Amino acid sequence: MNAVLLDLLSLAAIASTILVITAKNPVMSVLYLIAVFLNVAGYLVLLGIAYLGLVYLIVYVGAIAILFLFVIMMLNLRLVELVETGQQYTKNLPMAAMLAGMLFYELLTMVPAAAASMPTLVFSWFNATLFNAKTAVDVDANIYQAFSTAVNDGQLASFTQIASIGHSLYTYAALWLVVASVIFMLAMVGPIVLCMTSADTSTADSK
Amino acid sequence: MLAVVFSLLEVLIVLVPVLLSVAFMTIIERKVLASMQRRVGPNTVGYFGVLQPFADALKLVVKETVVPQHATRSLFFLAPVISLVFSLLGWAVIPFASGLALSDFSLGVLYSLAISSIGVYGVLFAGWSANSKYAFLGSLRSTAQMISYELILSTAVLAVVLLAGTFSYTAIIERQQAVYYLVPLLPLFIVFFIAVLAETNRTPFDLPEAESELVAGYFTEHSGMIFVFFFLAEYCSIVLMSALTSIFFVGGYVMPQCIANNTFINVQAVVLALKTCLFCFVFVWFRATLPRLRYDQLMQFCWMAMLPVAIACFVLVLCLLVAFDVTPCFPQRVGGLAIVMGNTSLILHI
Repeated sequence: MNAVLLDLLSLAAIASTILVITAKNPVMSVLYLIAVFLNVAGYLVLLGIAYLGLVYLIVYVGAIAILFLFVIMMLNLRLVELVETGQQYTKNLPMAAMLAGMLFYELLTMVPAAAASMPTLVFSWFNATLFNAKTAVDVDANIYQAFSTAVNDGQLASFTQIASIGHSLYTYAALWLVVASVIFMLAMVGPIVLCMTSADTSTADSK
Repeated sequence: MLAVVFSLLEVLIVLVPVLLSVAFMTIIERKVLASMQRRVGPNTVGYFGVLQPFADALKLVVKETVVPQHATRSLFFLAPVISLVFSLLGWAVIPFASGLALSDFSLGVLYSLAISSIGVYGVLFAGWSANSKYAFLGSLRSTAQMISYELILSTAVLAVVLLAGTFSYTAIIERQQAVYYLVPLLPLFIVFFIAVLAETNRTPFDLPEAESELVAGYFTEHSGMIFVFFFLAEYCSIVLMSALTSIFFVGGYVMPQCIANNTFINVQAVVLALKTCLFCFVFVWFRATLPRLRYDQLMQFCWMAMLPVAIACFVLVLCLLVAFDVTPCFPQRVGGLAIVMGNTSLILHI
């Protein structure tokens, strides 16, 4: 029963992903995107990873897709013009395929398949200074623990879901957590700084 | 097969009283509002007008449903259904007494947050699909307000979750046997309730349907049966939010031990109902008392005042938990922690 449901959900997700691209109306397109998110969330919940599924719903459906929809609805697009520009772009499909192929080739050749052979230059230095990982073995162990799926699966089996995610995040992947947070922080502060300039010029004018 | 029938019956046993309570919420609103404005209110249908909501529902059901010509029909009909279904789904994880929940989900609080954030789509689609400027502007107003205040709501809820150390409703309620979270988290309770008022589009934040000065918001073009869906969804979320407020801050079905008894009447459920009724009354009370905010004031208030306060409270709770070394993973220490928190918030108030 569950296996059939999982298959159905993944099929529905793929179908709605295709519809996202083929839909003429951008609002309908976002609607299908929401359908993808819902299907994937349902898939995760059915698999037993309810926490990730719910977070998916809260973050993607509850925040990101709403903002997408909000902006697209306010743009006041004309459907006819959109279809015309769309046809111009579809002429370049072979070009797009070539570029995508090159990108995938580069990615597949550069990124190592095994976690053990991850490049460790900057990360090992940070790991050594920040988290007292004294020896090179410690550093490598941390990296191995953070990226090896087998270890994380073991965590998921032995703790409750949130506890297991927290445990691997804060124990082995603390460094990557910090890096990700700094990137998010930059992404948040950047737009604010960009928007602040108009206020600055107005004060300069008043002086 | 029998199991499926039983679980369907369980769902019905929860949903039918919920819909009835929604109907009575409307009559509570009209009667209380009338008393506060020194009017009589509805008084002809049934005793003291108690059956008025059913008469209203019958009237709305037999009315003609008018669909605008250029509307996107699929979304036009889907929007009210989304609103109603997702406000009803929220009841799935509410424990009405110890062990009496449709699903005693260990991530219940997260589930509620996710469900309430999906409910916004009903509003958004209703405005867009009607292809009318009034409905569209109304839905943009309403959505912006709802997603802004959702941040505050979830921050306040997460502080409660931190203090309780769990996402499960039952555990949060059981932890309040020593002291209701209203006492240690009074500032957060106020923040939470303001966010709830905004989230359910109630006075003083009822701009989406400011009937006296703006055209009624996102459901301007909806009429008849599909309007009933929006109406039900709105009042259902009011009752649901009252229940959630009483669970998070006033201890849900927990009561002083002197009232508890072991007779066949489930006193716990009655206690939860009483607390919920109290908050339902407060909703109406606010409506009768406060004037409406202007839209820019509303947004300014959310982002400049409420959000910093909510996050500050959240960080304070976190810091106190670390400073006194009372992580809620050890339930026996939580009572002591709550007293510490109570003292600190008292000091802050003074």
